[in-house]
Amino acid sequence: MKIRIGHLYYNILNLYGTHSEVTIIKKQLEFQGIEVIIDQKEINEDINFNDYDFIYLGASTDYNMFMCLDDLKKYRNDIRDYLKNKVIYSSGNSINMFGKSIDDIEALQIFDFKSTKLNKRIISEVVLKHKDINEPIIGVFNQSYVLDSNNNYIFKLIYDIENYPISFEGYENKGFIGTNIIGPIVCRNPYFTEYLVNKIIKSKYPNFIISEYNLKEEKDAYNYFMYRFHNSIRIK
Amino acid sequence: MNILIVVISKISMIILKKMGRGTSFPGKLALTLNKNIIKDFKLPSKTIFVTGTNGKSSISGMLKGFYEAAGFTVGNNSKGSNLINGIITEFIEHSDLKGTINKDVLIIEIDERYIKEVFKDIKPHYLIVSNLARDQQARNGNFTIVFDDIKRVLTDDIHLFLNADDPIVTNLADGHNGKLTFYSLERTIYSTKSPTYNNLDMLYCPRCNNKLNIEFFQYSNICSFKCNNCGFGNNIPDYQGRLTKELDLEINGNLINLENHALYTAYNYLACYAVLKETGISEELCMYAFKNTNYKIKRLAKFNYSKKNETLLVCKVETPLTWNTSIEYISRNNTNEAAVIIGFDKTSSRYKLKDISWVWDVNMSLLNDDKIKKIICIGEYAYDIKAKLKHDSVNLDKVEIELNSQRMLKIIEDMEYNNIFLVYALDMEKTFKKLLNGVNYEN
Repeated sequence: MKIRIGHLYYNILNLYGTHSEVTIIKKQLEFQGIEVIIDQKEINEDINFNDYDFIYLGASTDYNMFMCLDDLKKYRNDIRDYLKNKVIYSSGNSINMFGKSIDDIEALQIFDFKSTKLNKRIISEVVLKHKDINEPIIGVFNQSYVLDSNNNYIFKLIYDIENYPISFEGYENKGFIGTNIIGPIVCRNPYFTEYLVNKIIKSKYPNFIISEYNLKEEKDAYNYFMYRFHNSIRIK
Repeated sequence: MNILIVVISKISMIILKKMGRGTSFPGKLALTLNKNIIKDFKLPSKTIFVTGTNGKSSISGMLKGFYEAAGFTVGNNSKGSNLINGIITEFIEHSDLKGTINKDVLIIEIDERYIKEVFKDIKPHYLIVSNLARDQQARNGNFTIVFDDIKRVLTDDIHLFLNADDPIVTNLADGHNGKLTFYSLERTIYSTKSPTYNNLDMLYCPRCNNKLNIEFFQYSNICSFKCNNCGFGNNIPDYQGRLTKELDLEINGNLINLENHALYTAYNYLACYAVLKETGISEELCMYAFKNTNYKIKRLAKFNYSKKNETLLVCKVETPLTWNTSIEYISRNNTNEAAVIIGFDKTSSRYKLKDISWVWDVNMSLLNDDKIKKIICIGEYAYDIKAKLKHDSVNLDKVEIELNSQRMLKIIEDMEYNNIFLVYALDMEKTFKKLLNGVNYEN
């Protein structure tokens, strides 16, 4: 069994530690006995979406995100086809590329959401809930853009220290999973990692029997954080 | 200048000093009484500001020592705050009642986000920018925001001193018609063809978006680069240093002993040398100043406690570069059988949020070294550090957890290895110093 990961624009979509998420996903797939090949792609290199079973994009500066958007636009149809039965995980501001527009700039238009830049950057620690994951998701808002994900949000906000008027975050639709939350989410949320890796495996091998993951250290870190700081959380 | 405000602020300074409190309150008080007071100060003809993600404290402290050794009187805020209150406090301390700063040289370390506030009202004659990298992401967002803040307020009457090996810093020269001085370090034995990290900040030309041609990396994003498309980075450095086999820094045929062998120290010396020379200090006087200044490097201290050799490497939370350079320092050290104690208790001194995304930008794989026999992750985020060590394929058999940083001395006392590297954030260094209470540091 083999899973091929396309790590797109690995050398510029690498902010907020997001590049580390790919390693964790790779190691967990390998722990399940699956061979993993990571193909790192740069701007201006040809991307053949048929080559991949899973695609990862990380966070970046806004300037770099627009550079990547320009490069990705020629693959709109390929991305639509790819998403019919495969998984993309977009971490950080790269999620904005997949909507209809980023302010008045045309985005990839894979999905209907619009991203709007706020006057002020949102900065807050957050705790969120994913409908299919029992344990809360921990992370940080550090973003200028918000998107109107409507019913396709990925996380529901249950706590934030700054009390921003935002209730939902990110976008999830079929094989696409995207969040603007900084963590890095995969590195700090082992239960989300399990959810994501399950989804990657099942998209290619629906009958694969998944055994327990090797996430003890990550769970220790998550559990201690929740234990140590949970008392200060006010649930909305 | 309103003399009364200066008098009141100076009195508050004297009272606070007598109470043993060297705060930036006098500056805050002066600002409250006149929000535009900074405009009223008359600066000396050699006013040098130093900024950047790392090195501003070191460079300004070093420059102070060098100018003093060369016979100049110097005003400097390296022991105080680098925010606006601290800068005004410094001005008040060294000014007469009319606001004239009676020093030959004024050297001000300035926080990179405060430049836009301060430069509205006053401009230095010289500005050093040591480097710009991802740092304090909750506050800064990312380095392009910091770059834009600095770039926006630069005017042609400022003589810029730029690290030519930092592509982000080099881009500050774009459109600057004032005087420019570049400093650089030649390829060293530590230089690498490929980057040590996957998370560099600038690999594409900021002017034409072409991929930069990078000949070698010094550390992190500090590299020898140029854009083959538009020529960005093709500057001939005005001052170039070379690292000798003995790991001394050679500048213009003269040798400078780099006691800690850290590359960032070589860059700090180069920045100082460039400024000293450009402000008219002779070669002989520069070398005299270098040799006769006992400058203590803030981030690195060696000492002996419990009959062991400890090296304290002080890092900043939210600044992965400082942790990466500390870990590189350990991996380049020739000691046998060493232990590493690494950690922090607080994620930010400024914000309530607990952002540890920067931990995942630190490359800990260099700790997967046979000479490192034990790694103790210490403090509130010990488990997160262990998770990152696992991510970087460090053998977890040698990793231990200690959540209580108050136990750090006991850990050192009980340590079976004589060489111990303490990789601490500033908050944990404070805890450590309190616990030590009387043990002398030496550089």
